[in-house]
Amino acid sequence: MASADSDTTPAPPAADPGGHIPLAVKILVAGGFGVGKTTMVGSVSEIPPLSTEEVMTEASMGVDDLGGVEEKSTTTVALDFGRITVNRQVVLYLFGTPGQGRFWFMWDELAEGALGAVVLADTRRLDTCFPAVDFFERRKIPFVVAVNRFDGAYAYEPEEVREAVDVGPDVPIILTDARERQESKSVLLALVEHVMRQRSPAVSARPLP
Amino acid sequence: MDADRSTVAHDPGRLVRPFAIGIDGTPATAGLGLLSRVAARRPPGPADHLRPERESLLRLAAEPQSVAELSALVGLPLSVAKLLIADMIEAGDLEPCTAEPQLSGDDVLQVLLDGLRAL
Ligand SMILES: Nc1nc2c(ncn2[C@@H]2O[C@H](COP(=O)(O)OP(=O)(O)OP(=O)(O)O)[C@@H](O)[C@H]2O)c(=O)[nH]1
Ligand SMILES: [Mg+2]
Repeated sequence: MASADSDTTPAPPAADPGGHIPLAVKILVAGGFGVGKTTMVGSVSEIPPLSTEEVMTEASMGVDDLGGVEEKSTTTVALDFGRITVNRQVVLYLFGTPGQGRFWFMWDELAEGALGAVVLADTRRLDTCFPAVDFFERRKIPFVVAVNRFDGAYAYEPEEVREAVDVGPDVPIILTDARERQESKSVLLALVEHVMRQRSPAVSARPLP
Repeated sequence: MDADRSTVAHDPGRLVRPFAIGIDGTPATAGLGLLSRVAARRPPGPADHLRPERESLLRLAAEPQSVAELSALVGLPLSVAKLLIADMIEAGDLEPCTAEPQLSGDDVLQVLLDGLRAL
């Protein structure tokens, strides 16, 4: 531990010699297959979306997926992510999470410490976002529902989506176009504001009937 | 106690089976998350040429870099990258970096909100 000679304050515990690095904040972008997760991550990221993969072993698969997986075969799950350096203090990472239920094992690690989530919904297949909504509700991870408007898709009103997806009145529902940076940014802003409201005691004092 | 643990049960070695990366033993990856950041403690040297993944990691982590990014950039699955990074931390080639806890939970949100709006 180096200490400057003028330094009279005790060194913080476990201060790493790595120096001052920004706090890393994580937001998940979840939703069904092909709903625009990677597109949204890419539209706001300052780097081209990166992709990493996780090896799925039988140990990490749900019981339902065990059929036919007799040996130690492995499957990989791709995970896309992007980064936004918000300022010197905070860097935001966006993870596009695979929407299928058999990737739950991945979600656990992804969800740990996440600030919140964007559930992307495709109006042509609204049901594909149910697993994600369930997951975040159960984990009490704040989320917003962003409805990705695909060309030619029937334009739902936000309230129709709310009813179909069955989320409470406090969950923001936003119509968006994942290809547009400004629109994706607005979705993130709506999420951060939602998280702030949820954490403010005045709002969370009384559970809804 | 800890020494025993690596010889029993989970056999994490099978995760690295398809990869020709020498990792002795099973370094503890428990503290490494997707967004853990690590930095190289030295530049790559001539001896590292024989171990291309380690050489790449030393180069890529010249500035603090997240485990997720290192995994993607070096082209290794997360669990393999974590093992390798943990091994390199144990060897003193990489060091973990911690963000200064100068922001409280509410401040982070405000900083995030203001920052995103300004983008
Ligand atoms: N019209 C329209 N097309 C979109 C929009 N968002 C994404 N797309 C297109 O939809 C396709 C799928 O988008 P992706 O971003 O790859 O979707 P994904 O959710 O990452 O898909 P998976 O990772 O395979 O589940 C791509 O061809 C996109 O260009 C949108 O808002 N409007
Ligand atoms: Mg994708």
